[in-house]
Amino acid sequence: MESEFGSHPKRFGLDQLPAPLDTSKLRSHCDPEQFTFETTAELADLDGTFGQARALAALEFAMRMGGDGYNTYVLGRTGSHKHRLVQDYLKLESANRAPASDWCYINNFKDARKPLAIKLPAGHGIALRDDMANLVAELRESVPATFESEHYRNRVAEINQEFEDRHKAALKELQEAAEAEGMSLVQTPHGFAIAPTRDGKLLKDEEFDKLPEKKKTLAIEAIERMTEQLRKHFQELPGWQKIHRERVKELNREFTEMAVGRLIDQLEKKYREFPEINEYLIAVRQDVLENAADFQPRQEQEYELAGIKTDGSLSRYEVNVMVEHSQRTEAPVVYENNPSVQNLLGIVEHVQQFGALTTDFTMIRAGALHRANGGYLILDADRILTEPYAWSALKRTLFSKEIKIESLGQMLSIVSTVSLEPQPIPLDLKVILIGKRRIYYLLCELDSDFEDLFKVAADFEDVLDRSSENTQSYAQLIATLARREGVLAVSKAAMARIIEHSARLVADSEKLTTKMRDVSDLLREADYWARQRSAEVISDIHVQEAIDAQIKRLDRVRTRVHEEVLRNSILIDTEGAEIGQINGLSVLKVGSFMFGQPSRITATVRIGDGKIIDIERETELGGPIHSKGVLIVSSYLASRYAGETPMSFGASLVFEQSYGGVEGDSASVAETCALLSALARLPIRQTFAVTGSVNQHGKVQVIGGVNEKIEGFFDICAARGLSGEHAVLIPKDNVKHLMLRQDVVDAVAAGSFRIFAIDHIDEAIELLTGTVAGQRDANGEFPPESLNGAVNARLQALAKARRAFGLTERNGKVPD
Amino acid sequence: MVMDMIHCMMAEKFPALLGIFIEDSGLLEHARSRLSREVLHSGATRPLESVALSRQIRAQSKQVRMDFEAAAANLGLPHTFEFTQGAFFDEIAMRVEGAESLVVALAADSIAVRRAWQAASEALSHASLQTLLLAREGWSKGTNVLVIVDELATAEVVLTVAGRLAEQSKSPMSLILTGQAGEHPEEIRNLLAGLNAIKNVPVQIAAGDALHADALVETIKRTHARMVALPWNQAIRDVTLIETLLNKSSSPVLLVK
Repeated sequence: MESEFGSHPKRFGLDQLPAPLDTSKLRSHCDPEQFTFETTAELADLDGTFGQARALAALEFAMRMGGDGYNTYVLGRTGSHKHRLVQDYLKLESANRAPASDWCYINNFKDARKPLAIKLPAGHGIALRDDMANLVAELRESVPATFESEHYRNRVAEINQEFEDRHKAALKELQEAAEAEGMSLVQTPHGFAIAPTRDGKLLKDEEFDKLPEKKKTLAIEAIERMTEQLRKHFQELPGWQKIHRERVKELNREFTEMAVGRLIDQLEKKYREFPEINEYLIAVRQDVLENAADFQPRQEQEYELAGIKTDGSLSRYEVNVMVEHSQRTEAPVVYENNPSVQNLLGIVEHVQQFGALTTDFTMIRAGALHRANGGYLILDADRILTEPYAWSALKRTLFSKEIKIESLGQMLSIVSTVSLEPQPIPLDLKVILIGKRRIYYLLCELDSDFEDLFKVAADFEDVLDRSSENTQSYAQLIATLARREGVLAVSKAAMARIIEHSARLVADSEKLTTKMRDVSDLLREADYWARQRSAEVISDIHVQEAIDAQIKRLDRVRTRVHEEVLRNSILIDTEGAEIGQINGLSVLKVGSFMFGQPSRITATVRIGDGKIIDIERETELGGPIHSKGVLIVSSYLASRYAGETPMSFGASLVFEQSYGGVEGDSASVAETCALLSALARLPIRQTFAVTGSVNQHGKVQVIGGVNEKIEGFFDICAARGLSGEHAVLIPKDNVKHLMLRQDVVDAVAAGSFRIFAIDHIDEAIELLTGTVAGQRDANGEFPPESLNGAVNARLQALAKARRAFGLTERNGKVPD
Repeated sequence: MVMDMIHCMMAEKFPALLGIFIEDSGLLEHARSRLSREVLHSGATRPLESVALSRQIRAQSKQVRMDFEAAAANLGLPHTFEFTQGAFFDEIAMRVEGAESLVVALAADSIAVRRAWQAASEALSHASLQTLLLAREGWSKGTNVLVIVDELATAEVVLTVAGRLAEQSKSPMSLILTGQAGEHPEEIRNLLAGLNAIKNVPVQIAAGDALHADALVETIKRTHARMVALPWNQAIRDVTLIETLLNKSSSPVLLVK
């Protein structure tokens, strides 16, 4: 194909240029015939994990490694089913471990504010709770029955009678003494009164006054003596009453022991292997003996409060089973998806009674750490880090190796009401944090505790190799997902299409994505379309329909942008050639959708001091990577052309009609070509678009979004009509990333579109201008008919002009 | 407790109750003497002052009235209450006319047992009065109704009243036969068999010696009596017997005429 530029410094034929890529390089086709099944219904579930050997090896190491701090951070992209894989793995691992212990809180009879924690083998917690409940129920019957027995009543009656007899005897003695003293003793509402008598009748005041002095004195002395006797009697009475009470109390203990002894003895025998429980039962026995009255029927004490039935003081004999594993044969695996402080550490609940908050040990509730104790706890990193004080609480617990229940108020010392201080429970578990890579790296950098507590990183792969073996396993994985999602069986053609799409998702023909959430979504949506068409099996058509529908839902912005290009609101030429103007390619990301679009890049050149003005940077619309790319371009030009002559040109580069910011260096090849075009005054084909990064030696480097960029230019060209002249230049090292749309591949096959892979800037400029780039000869000179020669000549001319300008400035004369 | 007993004894008759609080005039007279001393339960002493004493007695009587009316209402018995001031003997004698039953309730530490008994036994001479119940506050909760029968003539009436009480209160009965009744136990058994009042009451019969106060006290303790019922006859009119029972036993004493 000849150049359209007519006579010019020598153009070479395009058959000497790199050949366009063959269609086989544009999209790595997955052949359905490689599969031995017709549909996924024939495939068994994939046993175990696939594609995450590194992460799973790390997990296995961490779970089996003893010592402190071997908790795990599982890092990887979201959507890679980290949770599922971790949980599946831990289920297998936990099956090799014995079930965890039950943990219970019991009343501390010495200090009710500090409930005691006891550990029991799995299943024994509930047994103890039920045994204590049965004990209380039995005591409720046996204790009152004991105190209603004839035997008890008789004994009490004896004690009461003894006291009464003593009291009555004392009163009789007083009466007799009063009579002997010639006094009258009567009862008053608050005690006794004495008064002198004569002949059995009260001595009136006037009669007393008539008595001789001696008799008066005797009478008064008698009154004093009687008064003293009465006072002594009343002073002794409390002592007698105390003795009476103690004897009754001792009797109660004796009878209570009869009722209680056998029952508690049975429990002590049952739990003889558990010293803590035996200690507890001793305390229970003692408490029951001292408080037997609590077991008497007290109907008025039972009431419902907020759904909690209480029966006064007997709740102190309950057993609060915090965690129990009676139904489990393996260690616990717990996932806490709301890791607040109280959900992690547990909480002491309170209930309001008559305006006051009350609690006891029966209201202690377990947290995730309790439930997972003896096993594994899975947490989301971003959730625990955003819950107030949860992260510090977790760290503190891991460091101290005990679970201490504290409310947030207590932690922050903003609550001073007296509450419970439950005995801490020893911690024995492995924590698995799942989160993004960025969070992991931030924690490593900013949290000095993190690497002490989470020594193991389980790094999930983002991609896996698209080998034939992996492809088969991947198909089996998809079959497993399909069954799990409850979708229709997948045909082998659909499977092939899914695998191709998986490669497209990671923009690499040699890789497959491990972000299985995307694959699951595709399966479900393909299933939807299949069912819409009343199909019995998901075919490749349904898969494509799902892909197209996904794109359609998201590409409003792309459609509008392309429309504006086609309407020439955004100026993009796809015909002719222009000096210093080139079609660059950029990628826009709108939400989760990425699309490519051509961007016009222009370069202007003038006399100057070698500085390239990056207009994007000057206006703060260019990011640092973009600026770096431009500086590299500048260095390349200087190293290629400056030689022993200073660069005497000034240039400006701009992304035309770009107002939203530019980042990345994937346009640096295009920028270099635009500059060279402007320097050499050689036009660049507008039927071409270019993407690629260049280094200081002119080598073209890999860029991202190559598929979207190609498709973006293709869509514009196709909308205007493909001529066969349209093409895209991409870095050679990007060929392996190509997974282009089928319509692009078909256009290339038809010869109406081309894609070239370039390795050096010279190849790019040759394709774009149709002119030989040229190499330095033995004298260091470029061939004058070459593009580099033209560039060099222009630079020399600019240097000369600059020198002349400088001399004129100094002495007003223009040199020859 | 007293009210329960009354209810048990007389439930079928639907008695009307008259409650009387007697402010003993003798006590007020004590207060008028400047030599009188009051020793309180706390051990403190003070002169006995009549205005203060009257106030205390009034307060006490109000409480007694409230308790009486509440208990009577609870049992559904029609009732009235009177407060009176005067000599114990005279007040009882005035009001017992026309009454079928007299109940004298004494405080646990009462030292007026003899006076109360004298007044009550005097009241028993009234023709209308059929039963006399003497009770002290704080008596022990026995399980039996103990009945003493010493002669055949009064056996039926005492067994009928005591039996009604035992049946209503679901208590068993212990029957001690002494004197003439002790010599004719079969007649007593036949009598028991014919009494409707106690056909559902378990009865245990034993022979006893002649009525001695201390022996009777021991019997009350041994049989765990919640009440002892005796016929009001010549043998039992012995003052010291009843007084001893009231002083040495906690069981209420029911005398049946």
